[in-house]
Amino acid sequence: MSYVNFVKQMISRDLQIAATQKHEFGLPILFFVLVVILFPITLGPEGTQLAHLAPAVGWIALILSMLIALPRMFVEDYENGWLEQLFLSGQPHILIVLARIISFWLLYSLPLVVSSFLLVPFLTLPLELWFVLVQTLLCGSILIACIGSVASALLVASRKGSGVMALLVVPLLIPALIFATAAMDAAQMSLPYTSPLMILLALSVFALTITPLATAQALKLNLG
Amino acid sequence: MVKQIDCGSIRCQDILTIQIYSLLSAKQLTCIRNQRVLFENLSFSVQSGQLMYLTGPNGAGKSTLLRSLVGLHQLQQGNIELSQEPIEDCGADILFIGHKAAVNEWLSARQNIEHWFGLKDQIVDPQQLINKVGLAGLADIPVRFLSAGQKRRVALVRLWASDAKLWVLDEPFTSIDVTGVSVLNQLFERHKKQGGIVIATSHQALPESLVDVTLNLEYRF
Repeated sequence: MSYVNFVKQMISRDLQIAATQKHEFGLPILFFVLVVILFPITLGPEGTQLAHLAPAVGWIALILSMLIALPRMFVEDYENGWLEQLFLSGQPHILIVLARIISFWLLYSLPLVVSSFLLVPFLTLPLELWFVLVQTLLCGSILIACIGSVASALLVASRKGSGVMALLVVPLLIPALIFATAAMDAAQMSLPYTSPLMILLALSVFALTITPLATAQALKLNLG
Repeated sequence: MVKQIDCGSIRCQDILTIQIYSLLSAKQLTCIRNQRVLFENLSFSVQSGQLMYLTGPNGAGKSTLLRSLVGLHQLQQGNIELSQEPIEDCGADILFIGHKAAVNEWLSARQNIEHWFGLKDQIVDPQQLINKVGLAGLADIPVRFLSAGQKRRVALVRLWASDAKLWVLDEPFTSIDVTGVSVLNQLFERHKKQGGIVIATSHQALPESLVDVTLNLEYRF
């Protein structure tokens, strides 16, 4: 079986399972929406202040919502034995992980990035700034999914993973946050924001290349 | 009776041509878990057409040995080869059904079957297989609504159409009824005739005519 077909098959299986568990799948999105709604209520209706905070709110809400979903990345397949079968299938282990990262990103990150549009009406974020924010969130969500996959694989056998998950993942996201903030600041002052955005993109591409190796190894250790 | 386990259109010819002669050899296996030696310098070999019956009390290391045999567990020492190739490279030749049967409870039996055989790049007719294991009419409801025995039957569907040389089965008879057990025994017999290897553990005795090699693991302190 060609690698492309294998990845396609894995992703379609993940989507099929997600379709049977819609409640689990909707939870991070609802959480994201709640966080975004809470800010204007607690801070008051002052427009300029809200618009200034909007990018930060978007990023923090994205990280927290993804932290809810991350522990579930491998747990179900680890517990029902499907992961064992995948590791025995003779396909490269990196490919197994990569397919899972892609389907996780499609299911849990992309909807969050799209729902960041809520910042425009709720926090009076100007539309042109939202376009910049979406670009940083797209790069950032790939990075979170990659780094999170390592943590998720390490914690797959422990049931109390979510607290430790935050401790493992969040510190590693600080560089990404710095560049995302730099890009947003530049955009707010109508300066060119491409270079910090490019560095952010480079970070996520780097993570996408390196982390599947670590994730596959961590899963193998947990299966042994 | 032979009709009952006839694999029908499911690549029967492929099965016959693929499985010529194979040999599983394990040399000097040593496993230490939680500072307890499960087995030490264990060597054995199983040939084409043989069934190895692994016995021993709970905690003796049967499951660990089976997982090592398919390359899922890293042993402290020893090497395992299937037809002179390291077992890690033989994924496609192995059918492993462990305690965790790889059944996703949210999906239907049909979907589970499609995914298993899709993984091996094998085309099967799920409906036909489901009928064979006596689950006709239950193909499209999520597996979590089935009974324990029916779930196990879904997992064991893979035995009907598998073209793997080596079957490694951890407690295949769990929750299976009497007729199911006899059908499974016939499947083992057929697999042996086709030149395959079966390695199984069971707390329920296997018929003597079926067992070629018995390996008894003792509980060591």
